[in-house]
Amino acid sequence: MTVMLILIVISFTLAISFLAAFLWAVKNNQYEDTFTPSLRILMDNDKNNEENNDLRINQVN
Amino acid sequence: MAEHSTASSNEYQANLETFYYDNGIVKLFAMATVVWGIAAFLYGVYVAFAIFMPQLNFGSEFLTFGRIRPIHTNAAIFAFVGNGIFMGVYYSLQRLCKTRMFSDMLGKLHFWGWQLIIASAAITFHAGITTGKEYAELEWPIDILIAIVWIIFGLNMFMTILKRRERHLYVAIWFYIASWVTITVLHVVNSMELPYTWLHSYSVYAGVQDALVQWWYGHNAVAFFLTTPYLGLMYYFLPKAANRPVYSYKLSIIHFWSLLFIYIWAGPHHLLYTSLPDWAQSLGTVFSIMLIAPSWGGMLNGLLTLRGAWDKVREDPILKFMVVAVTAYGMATLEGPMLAVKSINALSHYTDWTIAHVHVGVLGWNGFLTFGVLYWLIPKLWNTKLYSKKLANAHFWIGTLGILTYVIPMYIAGVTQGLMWKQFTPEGVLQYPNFLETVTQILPMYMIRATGGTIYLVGACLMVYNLVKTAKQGSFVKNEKDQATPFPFQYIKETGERQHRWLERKPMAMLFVATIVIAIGGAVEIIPMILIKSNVPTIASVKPYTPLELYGRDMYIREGCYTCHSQMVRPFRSETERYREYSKVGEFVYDHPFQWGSKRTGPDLHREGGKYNNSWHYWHMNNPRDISPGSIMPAFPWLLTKEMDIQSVSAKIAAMMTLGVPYPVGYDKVAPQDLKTQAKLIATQLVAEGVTDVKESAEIIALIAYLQRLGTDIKAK
Amino acid sequence: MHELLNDNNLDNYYKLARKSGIKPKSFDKSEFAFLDDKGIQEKLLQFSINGTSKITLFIPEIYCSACIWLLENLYRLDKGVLESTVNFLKKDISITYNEEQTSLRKIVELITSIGYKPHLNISDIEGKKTIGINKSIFLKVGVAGFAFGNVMLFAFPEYLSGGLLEPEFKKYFGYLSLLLGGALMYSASDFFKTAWTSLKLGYINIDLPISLGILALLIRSAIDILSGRGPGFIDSMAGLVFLLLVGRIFRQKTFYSLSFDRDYKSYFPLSVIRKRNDVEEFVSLNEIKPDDNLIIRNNEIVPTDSILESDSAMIDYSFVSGESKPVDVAKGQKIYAGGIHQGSSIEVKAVKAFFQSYITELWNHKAFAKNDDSYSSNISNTAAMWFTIGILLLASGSFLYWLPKNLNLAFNSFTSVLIIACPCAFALVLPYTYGTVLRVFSRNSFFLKNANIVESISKIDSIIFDKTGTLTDISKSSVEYLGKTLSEDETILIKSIAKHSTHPLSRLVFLFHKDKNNVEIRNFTETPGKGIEAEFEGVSVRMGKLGFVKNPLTNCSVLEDLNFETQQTESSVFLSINNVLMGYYIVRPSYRSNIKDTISELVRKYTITILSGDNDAEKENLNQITDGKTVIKFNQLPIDKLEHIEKLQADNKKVMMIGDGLNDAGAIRQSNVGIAVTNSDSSFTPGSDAIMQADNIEKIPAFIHLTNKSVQTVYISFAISILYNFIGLYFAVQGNLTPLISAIFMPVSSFSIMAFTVLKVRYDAKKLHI
Repeated sequence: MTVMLILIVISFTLAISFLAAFLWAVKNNQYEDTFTPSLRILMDNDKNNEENNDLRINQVN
Repeated sequence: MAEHSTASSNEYQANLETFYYDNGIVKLFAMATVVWGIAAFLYGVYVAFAIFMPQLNFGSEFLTFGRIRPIHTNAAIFAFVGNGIFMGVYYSLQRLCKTRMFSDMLGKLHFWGWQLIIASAAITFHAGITTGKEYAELEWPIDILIAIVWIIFGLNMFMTILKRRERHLYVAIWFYIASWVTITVLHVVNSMELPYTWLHSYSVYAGVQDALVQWWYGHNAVAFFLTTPYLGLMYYFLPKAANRPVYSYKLSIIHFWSLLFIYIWAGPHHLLYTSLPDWAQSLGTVFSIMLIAPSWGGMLNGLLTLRGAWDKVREDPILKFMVVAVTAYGMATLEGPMLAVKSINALSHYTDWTIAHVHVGVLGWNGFLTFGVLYWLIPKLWNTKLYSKKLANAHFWIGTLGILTYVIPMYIAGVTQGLMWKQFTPEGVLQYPNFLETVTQILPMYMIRATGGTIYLVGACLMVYNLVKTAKQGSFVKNEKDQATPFPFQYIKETGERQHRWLERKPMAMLFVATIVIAIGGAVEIIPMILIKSNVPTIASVKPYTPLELYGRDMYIREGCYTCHSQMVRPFRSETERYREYSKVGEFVYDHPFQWGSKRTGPDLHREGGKYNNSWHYWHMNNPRDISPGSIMPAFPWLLTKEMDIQSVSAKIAAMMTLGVPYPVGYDKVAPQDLKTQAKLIATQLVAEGVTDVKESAEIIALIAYLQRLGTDIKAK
Repeated sequence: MHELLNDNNLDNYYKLARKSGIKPKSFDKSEFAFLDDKGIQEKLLQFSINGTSKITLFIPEIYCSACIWLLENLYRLDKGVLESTVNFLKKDISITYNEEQTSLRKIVELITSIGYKPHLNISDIEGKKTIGINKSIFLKVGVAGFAFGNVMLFAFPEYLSGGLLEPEFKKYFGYLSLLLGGALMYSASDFFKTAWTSLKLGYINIDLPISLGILALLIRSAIDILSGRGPGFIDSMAGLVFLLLVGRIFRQKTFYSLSFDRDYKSYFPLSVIRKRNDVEEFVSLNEIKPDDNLIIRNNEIVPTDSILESDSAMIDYSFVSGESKPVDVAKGQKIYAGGIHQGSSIEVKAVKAFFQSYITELWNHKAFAKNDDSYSSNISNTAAMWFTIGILLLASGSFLYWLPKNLNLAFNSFTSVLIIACPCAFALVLPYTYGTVLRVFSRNSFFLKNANIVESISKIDSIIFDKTGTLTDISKSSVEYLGKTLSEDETILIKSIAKHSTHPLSRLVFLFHKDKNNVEIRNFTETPGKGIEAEFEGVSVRMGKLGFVKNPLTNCSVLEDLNFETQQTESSVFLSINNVLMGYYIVRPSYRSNIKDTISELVRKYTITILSGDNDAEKENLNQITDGKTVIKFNQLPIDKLEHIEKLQADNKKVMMIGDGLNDAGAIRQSNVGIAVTNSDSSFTPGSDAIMQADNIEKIPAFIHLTNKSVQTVYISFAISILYNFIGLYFAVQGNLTPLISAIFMPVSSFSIMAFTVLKVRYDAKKLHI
């Protein structure tokens, strides 16, 4: 079952690279604010799509 | 207002950057999604009918079930969902990063490269060119093309992330990154194959090892191709469509990281009760069950986003599609771990239950989310409103009906057949010893399923009409204007110390480079080296295939026999009664690739050798219904006349020798001669059994040789 | 404002904000002049390098997504802004800007003009900020979670194969586990640090047995793995560390937009206008010297004790004394620091420097320095001490018992005892119990500063209410009109005039007539501290103090019998129309509904005292509410309240103080549990242990009851976890603790304790209807 070892080593390496990404994200203050980003994506400038923008606002009301 | 702003912003803004989102690439992928979606559904409907009407291949080898089904699955996964992913990523990533994609050219290369892959897939599968590993059936040149295109996509994505104007990486981007990184590694590791012609290769792994790698890949491909990128899309498009923030952004972050750390280990659950070591199977089960928590976290997060907005859901077909999609995700992710429990798997595996399960996922989760995104996106791209909300609503109801009509009969069929296989009479013999009985029992379900698929397809056609009309009434916004300030990366450190831009961005670039290095470097260098001295317990009586058998085996793979027949007798009394001795891990050491299969539309074939005489197989392949009335297996009459390509045998044997199969030195040179000798023997036997017009060089001879060899290496009881 | 926005293409804001109701604010152009001062800037800015600066401003008005959108598009309104990022939960904005193109003052003026006045005060420049959970705990949890998941992966095969794993797997899995065990040391470092610190200080806390357990796990595992004796206990260890860290996060729930540590400085401006030789300049509060002449504008706080130089002033001392009615001050009289001036600008002469003023002295009173000891849990520390001594004795005992017979076994039993006794379940009890209480409370808008306050609340035996804001419900004050009947037109007029004034009494009159129509009033004038007057279509109306309404021309013959003079209290508004005295509105404080039940419920168990800063006008009502069973004191100065609490504490009483306003701040801090009651969701509350929304005051008995219940839960859980330990120790002392038993036993005990505490607290809360 050599292949098990290979898979484990590969998966483990992958997991470590994800861990590194996680540590980077925390250190980079990516998760300092865990609320505003969810609102921010809703605020596109939409200059070319005025009508669509209106539509979406209407949906809110 | 718009004109006004341009003027004033020019004079005002020294640091404000005006840039344009590239909608062109989104449009291309959106169109590809729609086109390939319809193609995938069409193929699906075709195979759904063909499975109970074998005559639907119209006597053509190119249209036979075994070749069409891989087209259907690959089209659904890589063409429909794949293009859907790219459509969503190219749209959302630009906006989330407040920047145009890094390179238009790379985008185009990615797009056309991916379509080329799909087109070559369709052609090669029709032609029977396949590796025989489910969902990784593409042959080596296309595998390389996939790797190249995938890296182009990754490069474009990572560079876009690096030049972003928004500091925070929204959770969707993390899902995209994880998907890309993991798929890269999976694809490379699982596609390790040794070419022996320009279009053919053998997996470097054999038997149980191949199975493990394949399902490690297979499971994770589901996870990181069908799930994580779509979760990313969900976290972007669902809040956008509902115009409200995701229920809990914190939960989405926890969802992401916990999913990431658990998903990759759950693969072995596809191999329960197989020859895989017990502990590895249980490991798969344990991790699969652990997956419920993060998966449901994600589902609830999606559904709760709409809390207090259900009146809007009632109105808006887009939200309706998304709600059903997320619900389907929840159902599938609950069912998945359930099916990974050994006792349930014992019943469900190899039956249509699995088919129902995956279709809840693909039709419900992927399909409906894609539809929702398309209905939202197309009007945006064409700067107009949806042509007809009514039609979209109709599509929603038709689609839902289609899914139900599809999956319910499949659940019934799965459970019914599973129970029938295991049913003993009070006297202790199998109640349904004839496999065919268990098939004819569920034929009505197959018919209803085909209807369900057709309904789903009809819905999708309504969408195409609606979207085309929408696009026609609007005008396409190729480059969408936006403005933002560049993100002042270097000043952000709280300490106030100066940080260089590249330092800030380095980790992302490193993740990209590291993946490629791990994936390609690691895999190419290490794997074959280690594998050659594999330590699977060998059984002395197990010998390599003869050249003729090997030829027959390649035909077995070519015709996609594995799509309906397993080669893995599980250690249950019901199976050992039906198929004799259960399969041992040592029996597969020369199987490059393994052919354990995942579905039994027909009976298991691992102990097929010697079960019937040669002429039975001869006539059975000519027309199964002549031998077993009511059989739904397609006829393969052309095998009786088609000539073997004996010249290729040397290359095959040589490749096998490279992979460590212990043929005598120089055997590849004499192999063609051996093949002819054995073929002659079988032809003689056929004649002796009363078959006339036997062609010694016909492919049927090789197939018979292979089938008669199956499972005979160890002495069955 | 609209023009400014429209020019820059921000009219989306109007679409988004259609319902948001944010209104542009007008402000005095010189209000922010102090921001040009380099010294102040230096203290405010997070950094300033090569002409690029960053500042974080607290803006309480951020409350909808339109706010984020507008504030993050600042760069469109000011080209010097490089980037602005809003943190919605903390209600702050970080702005990076270019010094050459704009200035801090311009930015602050800009955001003030669009309706987001940042809250700048003297505490901002004195450092000490940053709330929220330390980032490193997330890193540690990340590493621990990663190690936990992967160690389990390597450990499962061992359990699942019943120990029949292929030797090579065994070897590699062992090494990998050990590697992860090393990484776990980083995650566990806090436990070691705390344990070491406490040891150095000569006491034992819960982290000591935990540290011992973790070290025993690591050493034993390393020996087992490296010598090939077994798979080690890294799996148990990973689970332990992970769960403990999650527990730490669980107990650290933070309420971002609330600040528990506000002192009086949070209410003082950054600077004040000093007039010297007829030149006005902004100076920082710290620079005020005696005899400086200061200009105080409308609604500004008098920063230090001063003498009024102008003719008269209205000073609202509610901030200092709790007395809600403004006081008239005449020229030459003393104004105390902390009074809020109402009306047109006045000039005062400082008599003291800022740091010597009355309020500063009050604040610096020794009692105000609360020591932080009260924040650590006594229960767990006492328990930890006995526990640690116990297991050390037991471990050594079993070591000595086996030593003569079998060295190996002696070592095994010694480490096993430490491992199994490692009080994971024990240590999780407090965070999960108190953390859950914290969450239940926050659902009821009762926010605790930290989890240990739960324990403090459970111990209290005396409760002190501040009357002014806590027992009364300002929004429901009853208004009564006495006098000549008013016509419909007159009523409409009165309402429309009252609308223009922000004085609390005017607001109440306005609300009293709120159902009436509105008319457009033009010539409205407000004489601060006296009243308001206006004219509409030839009808002139005056409202306010009797002296203001009743001028020589007023005809009061009609209502002579009402005896106006006696009705002249701080809570009445007199009214005259066309110089005819019509009558008056009388405002009576309305007590919160159910307050009577609340108090009568509390009185059974606790000593209740009401300390009011007001006069004794309400004595009767209060006596009625409390059934005369409580001590009620009126005319209490902040220092009186403080002394009262000190006296109680000297008698070994544990005091809970429930109050509002800065005037109670001293008392709130002195008390064992200080609760600040707030009426709105504004985040301005004095330094306190807890913040409570005023509406929930009647739930106080239930809140206290829940804390008592939760302490009970803690004891029960301790008992269960000790029971678990005995079971584990039974295996351990015999030296035959296997990794499997440990790996099953430890998470099962921990999870069951966690589940028990969380469910028990939730059940109790449900029974108490909170």
